[in-house]
Amino acid sequence: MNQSEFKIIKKFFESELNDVHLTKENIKRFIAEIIKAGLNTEENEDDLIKEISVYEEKLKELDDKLYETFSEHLWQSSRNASLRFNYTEIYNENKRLVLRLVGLRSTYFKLCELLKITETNSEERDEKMIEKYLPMKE
Amino acid sequence: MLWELWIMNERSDYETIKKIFVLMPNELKQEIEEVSKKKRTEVLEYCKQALTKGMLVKKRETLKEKNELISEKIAEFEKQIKSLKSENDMLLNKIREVEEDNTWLINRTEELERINEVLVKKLKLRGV
Repeated sequence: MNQSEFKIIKKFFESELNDVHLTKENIKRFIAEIIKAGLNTEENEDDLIKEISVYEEKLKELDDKLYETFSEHLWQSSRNASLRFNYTEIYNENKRLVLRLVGLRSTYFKLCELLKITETNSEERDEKMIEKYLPMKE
Repeated sequence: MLWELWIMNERSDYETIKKIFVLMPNELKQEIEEVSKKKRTEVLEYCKQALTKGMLVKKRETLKEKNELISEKIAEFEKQIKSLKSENDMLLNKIREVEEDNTWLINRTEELERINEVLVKKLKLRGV
């Protein structure tokens, strides 16, 4: 086979084998594979064409479905990232508020002591919040 | 795709078939030549038919594989979507909870600030 013939064959096959280094050996192997597939089948061309159109139709449906699920996946992922961010923001804000609460409570207890009055403004929920946002009273 | 190129444009191109025939492994050439009784045009016609059928078989295989691959990818996405949805619901509940705490904490710190201010005033009045 001369150079120009090789170019024709190469051009003919390059759309299929564009990821492969196109050598004569690759083309030979590929042709042999196709011819063998053709010789080994007992199905006729019309049946094959019909079956192919069914697969092509199914492929179109699957492509649409893939696009839909991909979009939904993208939406849920971005929503997830946004919710995680919001949660962290509010959680950290609460941590700061609890630190402020701890300081205010401490001041309150000291003032009650100085004024020799019994403290009456201690809420159970204060402790719960401190436990929740400042575990181990960090 | 090679299949479309072959089926749509090159089907009757004997020049291409001749070139492809040259590239075929010897045992395959012999097989084709024997079946087509060694007549050149019959050899090429037989070769052309085998190629066309082979191309169709390959195209069907490729499409089948592609469909299977896409179906798997869709199933994978659906699984991830399900898990993301349930995680997002859980996050929404947690956000509602911390938001409620946030409102309570703002009110409570404001309340303690006011009480402490009153107590400081009392202390000042007592001259402590």
